[in-house]
Amino acid sequence: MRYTHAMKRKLRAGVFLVAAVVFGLVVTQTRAENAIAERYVEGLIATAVEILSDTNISDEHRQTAFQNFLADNVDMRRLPAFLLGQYARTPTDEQKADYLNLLQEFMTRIYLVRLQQYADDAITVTGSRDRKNGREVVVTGTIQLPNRAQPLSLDWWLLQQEQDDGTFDFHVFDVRVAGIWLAQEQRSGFVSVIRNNQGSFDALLQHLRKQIDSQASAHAQ
Amino acid sequence: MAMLAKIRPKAPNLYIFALLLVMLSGCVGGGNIETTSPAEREQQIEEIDVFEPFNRYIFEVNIFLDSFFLKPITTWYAGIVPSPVRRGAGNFFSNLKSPVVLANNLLQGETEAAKITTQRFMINSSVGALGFFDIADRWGYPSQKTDFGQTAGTWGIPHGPFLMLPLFGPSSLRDASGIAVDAIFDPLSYNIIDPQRVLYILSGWRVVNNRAYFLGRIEELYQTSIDPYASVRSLYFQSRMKTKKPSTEPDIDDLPDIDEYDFSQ
Repeated sequence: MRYTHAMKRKLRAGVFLVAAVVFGLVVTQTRAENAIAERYVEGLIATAVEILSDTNISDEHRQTAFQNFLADNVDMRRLPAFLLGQYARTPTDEQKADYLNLLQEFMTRIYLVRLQQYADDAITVTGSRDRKNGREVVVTGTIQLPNRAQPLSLDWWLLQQEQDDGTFDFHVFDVRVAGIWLAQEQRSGFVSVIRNNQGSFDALLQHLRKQIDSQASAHAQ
Repeated sequence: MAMLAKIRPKAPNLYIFALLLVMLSGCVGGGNIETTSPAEREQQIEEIDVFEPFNRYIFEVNIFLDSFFLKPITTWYAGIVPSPVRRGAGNFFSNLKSPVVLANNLLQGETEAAKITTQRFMINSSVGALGFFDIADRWGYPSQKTDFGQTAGTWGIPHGPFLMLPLFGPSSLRDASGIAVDAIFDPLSYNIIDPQRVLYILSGWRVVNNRAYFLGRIEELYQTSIDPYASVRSLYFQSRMKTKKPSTEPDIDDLPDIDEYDFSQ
């Protein structure tokens, strides 16, 4: 079959049209995903503020609520491994189980202390950008502190995870406050403790226990 | 002539020494952290902390000095000076550092930033009551804060080894040298005010006012970090690389690839 000039032109136009529709669909889907991610972060902020500033609940109740909040929303698949850096493959299954339990309690206690002071500050979501075909989204925002003229930047790095029922949910992997990624700061401490104890993973577990106990006793006073 | 003779740097030899150190930091080793991804950065930060045992010792000395001298004075200061006055003082000292910022804007070839810095200085020094009010920021001239450490970075000079400086805190060979170079342009480094004790009072006030801004935050970091020294080191390098302003378009290109980290496998 020989293609005439007119047929070739129509074919080219058809290919261009299909490409434009596919591109349009991808862009629309990405924008929709980003909008979902932004709404997810707005929901996170509202829930966190509710837990941190509710004066009608006891400290114990607040801690449990915050622990559940973190368990539901923090990525516990990749983050715990990321925090170990080059030592991510060294723990045994037993050490790994211990580490995950201690990490959840450690995060609850330290972030409850760190975030409580920001509970009354205005946080605004300003935009988002995705990468890896929308599997990762960074949502941007600002926080207006009372003693500063300009707001500080606040970003959330979200990962999409497939759930047991086949749907996808967002989870928080890291948060950047004024240019500082918190998980990267924690990772620095974790790696340093293991390295300065000749690669001993138990040393890290011991340090985590010590830190949790010290936070608990400070909280009790 | 007699007037000019009075306006002299406090320690001219220190500046020559600092410039030599900046040049040396390029030879001592230690990668240029800005040019690598954060995943590699962590590894590099550890590698360039060649003086870690000594740095940790200085870190402990700094905590001791802070707890027994600076923190009590700062707590007292923050107790009697209201927050808006402290913020105004912070603005005043930032305005006073405009020559440092301007010089570095120009050394980096950032002419637009240099123009804004000049406009900020003129507006804040006049309408802003000697800089106590940051009117320029409200008028759309945001701070272009930078220093000689960053200037040296734009020239391709790497950080060199990480240093924990007595009293000054975390730094690198390049940035520490930059502190001395910046002093060349800092009005508080010159004998321009008589009596000279006014300069010392202003310098002391600047230190206490800066520390007051971090009151509570430093203590919180020490309480909640598993290794405060490593956290301070990480915060230092991250803050030296951060983007300056809040943005609706986050910089996602330098995020580490985390696919290899998975505890479910």
